[in-house]
Amino acid sequence: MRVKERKVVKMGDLTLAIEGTWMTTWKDGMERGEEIRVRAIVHWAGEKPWSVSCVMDDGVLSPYAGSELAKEYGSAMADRHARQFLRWLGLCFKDEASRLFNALDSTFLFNPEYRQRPSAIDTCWRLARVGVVASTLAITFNQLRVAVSKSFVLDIQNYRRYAPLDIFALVGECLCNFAAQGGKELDLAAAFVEVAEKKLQEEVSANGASDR
Amino acid sequence: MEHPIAEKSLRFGDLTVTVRAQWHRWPNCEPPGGATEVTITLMRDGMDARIVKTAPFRKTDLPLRCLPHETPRYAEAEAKHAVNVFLRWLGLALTDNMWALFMELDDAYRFRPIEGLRELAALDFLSGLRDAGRIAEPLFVAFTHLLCAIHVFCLQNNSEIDATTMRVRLGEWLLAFAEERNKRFADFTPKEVNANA
Repeated sequence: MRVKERKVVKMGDLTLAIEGTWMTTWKDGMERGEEIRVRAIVHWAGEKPWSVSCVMDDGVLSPYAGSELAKEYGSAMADRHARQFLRWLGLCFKDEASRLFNALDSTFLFNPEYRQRPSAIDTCWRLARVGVVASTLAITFNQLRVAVSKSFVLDIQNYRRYAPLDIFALVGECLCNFAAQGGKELDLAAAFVEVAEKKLQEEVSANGASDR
Repeated sequence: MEHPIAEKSLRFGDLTVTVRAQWHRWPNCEPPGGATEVTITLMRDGMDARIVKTAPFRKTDLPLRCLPHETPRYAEAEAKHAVNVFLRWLGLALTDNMWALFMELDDAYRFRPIEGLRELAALDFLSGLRDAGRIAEPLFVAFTHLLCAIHVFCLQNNSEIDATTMRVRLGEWLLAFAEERNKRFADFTPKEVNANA
């Protein structure tokens, strides 16, 4: 069985689809395990789409996977991992490396610092896996950053207006909000303007209050 | 131009592990630069199939920071350094000295943000973690195969030494082997086999 959940982020010429896939894996003619993958599909207008992907989790078959709830379970897992990836992408834009490190560590448990007697085999394997996730995140982050830089946001007038707010951090906030709300499609430009204008209004009212 | 390859091999039981490294100059790159790559090859006696894993070790322009005729010598030194460091990491993994291994990987790839000391940009952090992950894969593969070879050896020879002790001992030998500059091959198969075997 294979269940996919897709989240789409649009920014200027770029359509970025984050696709979580939950699937059962087969061995010796039997369903024996499950695997969750996240694929980032990068599609620039007028160009051929391409993708990068990574395995987020795999293991033995969960009891849900064999029941009538399999589809719902698979869909929930795929959705959860796609949203988690989007949240990590948001943290990249916010430039919060420490929070990203902790978030990746709590998922992949690769840092032996607070673990009791971590085995080398386990840590090496986890480090290898998180490396692929980091590579996928870095590629996706770079593509989306280029799209933001090419978009209207960095036009001279908009730049003057929004630069004091830290443009990339706001983009990160939009992505984190989208991940938390669990929608299907995000118009990043519209969401950015909404968040930025709200911030500007807050600043104006805060300055007004302090002047009084 | 091909630069010299550094190589060290070790043998345990029926498994031979070869670690090779080579520094490559990036073509048409300005400013000039290059990268060192590590390749491990795992061979079992009686089997034609081999397992080969390659990972980038580090980006460095060190062999270019000298007179042009000295570049091959510097490139060889860089490759030898990569082989020895990889063997040292394998030794640390086998001795289960996970914290030391993690710290050495962090020193090499700088992927751990430390508040006040090492504030990393998100992209630097991600690329460091990616590089650490890439080198962790051949480490993991070599480690698991050596572990299998140890267990096979213990079972086949009815060894009095348990597998964990043998693994830690092999790790210590590897750490010493990594320090030896001129030795290119070492057979770590224990010679004392149980008389009941």
